[in-house]
Amino acid sequence: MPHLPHLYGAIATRARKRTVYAAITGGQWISDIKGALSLQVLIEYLQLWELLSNVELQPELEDVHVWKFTNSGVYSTKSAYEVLFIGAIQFDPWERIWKSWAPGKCKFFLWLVAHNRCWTTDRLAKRGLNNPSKCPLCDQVDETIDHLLVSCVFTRQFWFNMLQ
Amino acid sequence: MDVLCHLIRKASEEQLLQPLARRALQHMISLYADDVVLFLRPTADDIGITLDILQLFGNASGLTTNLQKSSVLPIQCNDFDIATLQESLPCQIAEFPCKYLGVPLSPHKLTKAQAQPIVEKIVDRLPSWKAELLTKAGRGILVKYVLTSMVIYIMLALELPPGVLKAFDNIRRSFLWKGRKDARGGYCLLAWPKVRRPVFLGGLGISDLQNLGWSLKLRWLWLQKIEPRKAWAFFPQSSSAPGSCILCIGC
Repeated sequence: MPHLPHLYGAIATRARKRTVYAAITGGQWISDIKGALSLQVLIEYLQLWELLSNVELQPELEDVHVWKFTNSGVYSTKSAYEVLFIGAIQFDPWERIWKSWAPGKCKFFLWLVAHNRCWTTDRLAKRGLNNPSKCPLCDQVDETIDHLLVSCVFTRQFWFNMLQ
Repeated sequence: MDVLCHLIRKASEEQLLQPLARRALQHMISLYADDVVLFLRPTADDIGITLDILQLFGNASGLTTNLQKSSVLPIQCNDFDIATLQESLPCQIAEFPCKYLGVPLSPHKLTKAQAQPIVEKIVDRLPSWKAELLTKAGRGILVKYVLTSMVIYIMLALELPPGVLKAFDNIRRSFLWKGRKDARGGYCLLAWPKVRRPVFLGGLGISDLQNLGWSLKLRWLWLQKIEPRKAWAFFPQSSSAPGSCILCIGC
């Protein structure tokens, strides 16, 4: 069901309490729309009209409750917990880190790398802890986590041999 | 145990036991596993009859009630009621929260001091794990699946005060980064609110206790809709009947 806020706003307050059954029988919901109609309301009206054109109520069937965040329609705590994070910003490399078959400690390390939380000299220097600031492998560039793992000459040779 | 339930119900139908409240409140006995709760009016007659029923049941089934191990909890009782209780019942008068099925029960929200035993129970687990021999990833797994799941049972039933949730977070965070129950900021490489997000949002997948509590308690609303006839459907609305007392029986 799409959101139809403008159309909902055009409905008389008393009519909002109608049951679905009462609203659909005889197209009651149409005559519930009151007041001057803006363009938005008209668009939403047509949307709803289209949606409802195929709906047919089956009065002999009992109503059931459905939890819409699981496939089975049954409440689960896990789904409710995940609903609370809807709209949060995704962490892109999560699948590459956590779905790999590497041992747990390596995955944990990579997770820290992705968050840039390893004590390399650039981060130590920011806190006033002075270590030799050049990369110990090539002694040319400042030691950062990106340099150590990717761009250092030594590392590149290493990756090259590994992936050959 | 079913028989005991029927005996009590029979007694109340025959009006040997006075009703608890003017509203139809029929739930006078609650039996789960090895804990029994009886709701009574604090009059000498009622208590005498209940003790007789328990005696009868004990003789017939061999499940005798140990009154020394049981306790009475007055709900909205005046001094006169309490005096009656002391006279006619040989068990001690306790105060809320009382432990029923491992959950501290109380008519009010738990205070931080009352919830302290739960925190300590979790702290007690830590020394037996050889934390310094584990990697951070290993400790992360322990936090995620053991420390967090220990509170799920309690949180399903109760709303814990925020201070207690904070204490839990402190324990979990310190154990993850340092393997102890208290670690200061420097050891913690990533801010805790980020660590406790789901993995696909950049965390470790450790549960956020507040959100977890909400989603656990949401189940009661769902059950209310799905099975409105069960006893728990009245759970949130029910208030304790005035002038009644609980007899907690430890078997």
